[in-house]
Amino acid sequence: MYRYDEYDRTLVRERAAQLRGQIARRVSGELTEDEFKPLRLQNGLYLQLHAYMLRIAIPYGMLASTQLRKLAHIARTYDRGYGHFTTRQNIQFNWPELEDVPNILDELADVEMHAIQTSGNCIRNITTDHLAGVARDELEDPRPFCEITRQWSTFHPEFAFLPRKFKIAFTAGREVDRAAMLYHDIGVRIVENAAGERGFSIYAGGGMGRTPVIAKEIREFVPREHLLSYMEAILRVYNRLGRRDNIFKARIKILVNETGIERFREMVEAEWQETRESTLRLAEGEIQEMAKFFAPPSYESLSPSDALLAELRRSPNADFARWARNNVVLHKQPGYSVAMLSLKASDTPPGDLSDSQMDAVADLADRYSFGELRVTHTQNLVLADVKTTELEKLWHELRALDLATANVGRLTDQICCPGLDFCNLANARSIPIAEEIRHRFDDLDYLDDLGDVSLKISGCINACGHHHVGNIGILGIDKRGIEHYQLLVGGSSGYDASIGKILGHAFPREEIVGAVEKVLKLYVRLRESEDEPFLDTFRRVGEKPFRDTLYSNELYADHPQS
Amino acid sequence: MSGISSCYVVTGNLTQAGSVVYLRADETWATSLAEAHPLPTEEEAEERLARVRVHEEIVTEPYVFEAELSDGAIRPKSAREILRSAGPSTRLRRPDRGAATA
Repeated sequence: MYRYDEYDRTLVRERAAQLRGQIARRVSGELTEDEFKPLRLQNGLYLQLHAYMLRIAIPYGMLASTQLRKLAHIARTYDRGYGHFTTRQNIQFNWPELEDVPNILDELADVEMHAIQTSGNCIRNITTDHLAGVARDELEDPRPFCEITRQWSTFHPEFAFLPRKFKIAFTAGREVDRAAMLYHDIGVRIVENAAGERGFSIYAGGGMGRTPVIAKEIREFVPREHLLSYMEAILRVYNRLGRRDNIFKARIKILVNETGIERFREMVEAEWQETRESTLRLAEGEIQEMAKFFAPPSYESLSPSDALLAELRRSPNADFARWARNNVVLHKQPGYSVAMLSLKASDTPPGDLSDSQMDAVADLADRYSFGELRVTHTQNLVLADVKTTELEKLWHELRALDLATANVGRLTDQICCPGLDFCNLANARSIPIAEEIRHRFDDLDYLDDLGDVSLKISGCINACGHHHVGNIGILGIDKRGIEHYQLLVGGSSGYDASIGKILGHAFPREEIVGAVEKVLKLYVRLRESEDEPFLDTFRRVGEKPFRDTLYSNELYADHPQS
Repeated sequence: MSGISSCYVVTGNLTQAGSVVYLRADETWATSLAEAHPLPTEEEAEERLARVRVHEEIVTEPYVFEAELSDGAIRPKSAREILRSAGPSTRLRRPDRGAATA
């Protein structure tokens, strides 16, 4: 993992001290809320429905066990005993009091963490594939480039007040995009050109929110040394031309759409002529120095364990076998496996982890996975470097912590935003819908029969729960003060990105889970074989049968898509 | 005689704690909606709001919401205000700071 140098340490401490002074002035009345708001937002501090919320950055989802223990301590001391992992690989605390926040930031600085740029109209936390460095289909570990980008974007003087927030994601999988890269303001994919040189395909203008857009390729190949200079050029064009008069039209996706990708590309290329030979040009030595922070851990020299894992997946211990099938991923290092910890268990909101669970997972990371773990954008945790021979022992420990639910990738592995239970922007609750779905579909055999079906729930059009890209998406809306839910089908966040289609009018709260059930029953009836995934079936048959099954007793065409 | 009528309530979040509060008749703040002062018209509520807004060091971004008054009980009309007054509808790990770890 990257370790702070003296510059990083000073920067983070100074920022915490600045906020301490700003909070004192706010409480004394010296600062109005209008003056204070931009200051607190730059430090990830929101005022939500019931309390303040502090969002803490977890750069590209990497956490050390010492950091997780500190988060447990913060949850226990300053909050209500839990934290909530988000779809941008961050963590949020929902109940801090204002005057405790500087103390929290000081405590975070002790373990090289902060809340800088987790909010506001700036470049946010850089995200990436949670299997970075261990995935078999990976071309190259993206984390050194994520960290280089993080350093470039932190307190970048030119990009502190962009027209709107700006999100960047990296992916390096040859086959699978596990970072929803095409739904980011800038998506970076590590590629190899025809000459065998490594570089990046750069995509721009993706995003979810009220106007979901799949990012467009802006340059097929950017050489490694030009990663920052090319991104700087994109940001400069956006900063200059992005709209500041209408918050709903301020994201880069609107600029790219209104300008057209060809014209936007021309402007970026012209700007790049100014930036490409600047100090932003990366020397290969710099890249290699950064890569040392992400060198593989001290793996033991073990025999390949694919056959062993296959055997474990057929274990007579059926619960363990299912977990090994659904929650364990093949590792590129012989003898090792990747263990996914589902945070979608029992009756807790998706993505929540208690302080005692945090402490326990930190201990597991120390004992099984070189003291490190990762946060996924699907709101789970990962122990990335577990000996395959130790999987069953680990499973027993996870089960005792209620962290061994064997549902990763299944219907109940839902992405879910905090919704109206917490969020100031939400129109409807999302967590209770996720809980009802988990109870309705609690038969793991049925879930395995369905195969991988992604279900994503947002409590409003801002789409923090990624409803646009769920194979099944649920969007909460407010109809005259009463919560309703729209159902979308056919979304994908992978390289084959597609935006889910709204099939008809919204359902009242008591009907939405039944609507999901109807969609699933239809899929089972229509699939050509048990191996045909939900998304393939939907793409093959189209939306009409799904619309018919949901609205067959109605003249759905007469309903506005509210 | 029982009946339902519209009313307006001034609310906000405590600047220090962040928690939800409602304006009482004496223009102090209560954490319970039951203690709020229901005002019969939006104009009266806006007048009260203007008076308390000058003390934003106590309560941040106060505003007015509409509710129903039924047999003396205030019932917010929107899902948002129902949840603000009742708290999250999901099970919380701990009801408050300092309680036992789940």
